Amino acid sequence: MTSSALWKTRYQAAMAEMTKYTRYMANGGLLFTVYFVVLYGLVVYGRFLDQIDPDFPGHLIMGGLFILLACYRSTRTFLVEADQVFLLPSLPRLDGYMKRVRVYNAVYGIFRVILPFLAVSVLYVRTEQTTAGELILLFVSLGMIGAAANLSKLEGIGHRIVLLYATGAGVLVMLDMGSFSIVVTSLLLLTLHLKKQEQLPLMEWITLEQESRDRFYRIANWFVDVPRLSTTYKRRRLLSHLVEKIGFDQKRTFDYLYMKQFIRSTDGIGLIVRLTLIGAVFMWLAKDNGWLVTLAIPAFSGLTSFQLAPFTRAIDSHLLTRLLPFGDAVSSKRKVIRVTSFLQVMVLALAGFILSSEVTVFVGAIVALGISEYYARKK
Amino acid sequence: MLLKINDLSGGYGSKKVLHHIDIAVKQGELVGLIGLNGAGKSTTIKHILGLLPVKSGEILINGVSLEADEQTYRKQVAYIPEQPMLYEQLTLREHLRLMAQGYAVDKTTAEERIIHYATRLRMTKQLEWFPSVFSKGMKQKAMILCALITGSELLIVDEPFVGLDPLAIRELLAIFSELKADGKGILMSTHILETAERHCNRFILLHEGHIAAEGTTEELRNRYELQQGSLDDIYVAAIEEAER
Repeated sequence: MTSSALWKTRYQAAMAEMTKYTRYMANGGLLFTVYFVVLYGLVVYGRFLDQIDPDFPGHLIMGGLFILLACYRSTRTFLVEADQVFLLPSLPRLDGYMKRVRVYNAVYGIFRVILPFLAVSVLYVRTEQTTAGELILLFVSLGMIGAAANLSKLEGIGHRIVLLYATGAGVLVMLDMGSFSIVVTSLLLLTLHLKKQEQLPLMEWITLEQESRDRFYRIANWFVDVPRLSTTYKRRRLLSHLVEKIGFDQKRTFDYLYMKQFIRSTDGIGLIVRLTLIGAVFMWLAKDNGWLVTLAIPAFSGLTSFQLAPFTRAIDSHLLTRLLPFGDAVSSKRKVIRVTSFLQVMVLALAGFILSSEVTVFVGAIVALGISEYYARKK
Repeated sequence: MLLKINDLSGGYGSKKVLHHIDIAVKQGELVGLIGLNGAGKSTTIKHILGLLPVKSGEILINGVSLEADEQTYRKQVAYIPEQPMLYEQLTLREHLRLMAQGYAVDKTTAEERIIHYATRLRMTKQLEWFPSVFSKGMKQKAMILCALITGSELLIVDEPFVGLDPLAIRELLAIFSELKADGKGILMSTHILETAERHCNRFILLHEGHIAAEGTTEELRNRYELQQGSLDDIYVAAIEEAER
């Protein structure tokens, strides 16, 4: 297979899959909430910019952005596991494929910095004496950081090198010498060019692609059920130790199994923490409107219960689960949803009361508990 | 009789795989279930475990059917599958606790069995590990431990030696012998005929969903007039006869 044919089929397949999931996500209820929070956040940010003090240290924020954007790197290589067998004969002839992968990741790295740059640059122009030319130079430097972060991962180069150069460029911006940052970022790209891989590192690139896909699926899984997600579990020693306290009684078999699943999976405790945090941020943004704060409690608790309801699905169909003679799966599942929803509602209600001082938040909490009970009972 | 299958017909949906088969496993007996790929061995096992609904006939464990008393039925049977299937979110020790709890084994007995069997299968170091870092053989040993911890009367075993090292195979066969001596019954599906010949009390040869032959090695030798023949030879003769 030629490089261009391989690239074309892989890229098209990956884009088709991403489009499919993005469409599902766009139809999801949670995305609407995220849009709402982001829009509200923009309104609040706009108000903040209108009243900003000209002495506000915009250059420190812009410099910090250089370091912040270098912290994250993500790559796509579009390779699959079977390639470690079937691509082996073509390996010496895949230079063209490597070039395309590099270009894709560099361009993606540049695109990734656009929104954060726009958000910070509107603050920067209000607080700093700057010209359009200087702003363009800053954007180009930042784009180079974004591209370099991704490329460094692709070439197997230590993250610390990118962080070092990005810190250097960021410090220059903080010292009001932002135009010189492009020299540092150009040196970074030159370093990466000199250290680039000569031959396609098949195993490493397959692993990178799998990691990248998993990351995308994990985000998509917030909004829709992703069947192909290779779930990662965290040990969570403290919580796990608490679950071990569940009585060694045949009737509590599923309490034990579901609680372990809940504390270790991203669609269990991870989901509750994420949505509680988003809910708290929303309430903080809307703290001047008591009704919005009150409504946020059933809205976020309902979203959590709705998404939590199927969290046992993966283990219910597991062979060992089907063989277990004792235990009441339905009752245990309801218990987990009830207990966790109650704790979430208490946290949200308390946060709402502290932020808005409205007693109505407790009405919202009661409604939220009713909604979670509905989802707990739903089959 | 520990396991009694009477006139069982079954399969997947409308696809009928098994045709009127009768199987019996007594206490203290290791019965080898052998046959070509697609003969119906796994389907038989799935029916015994209640993973597939019975179309006609009945399956009894100690006289109890799944339909009559699911808890009693399930408590009496444990399973070692060919493909290890473990919960990714549980460590090995947590698997064993779950199985013991779900099979109503008391805590002290469960802890004793964990130490005893994990030591014998050289898995004590792996008790706190997650299955994602297990080798294929370790996963298989973990499945074996999950079945042994239950202390069930009947053990259904599907290709138990795949992926195991020679020491583990020897230890597993020793454990099977001890279970037999304790009055437990084992139904084992396998393609490793040499090992089966040395350790099984009887054999059931399935072919295209029918029982082509059954009996002890001696009985089968007599039937196929292969007085010096190995189980391999008997197997080939039985398949050839069935296909004639």
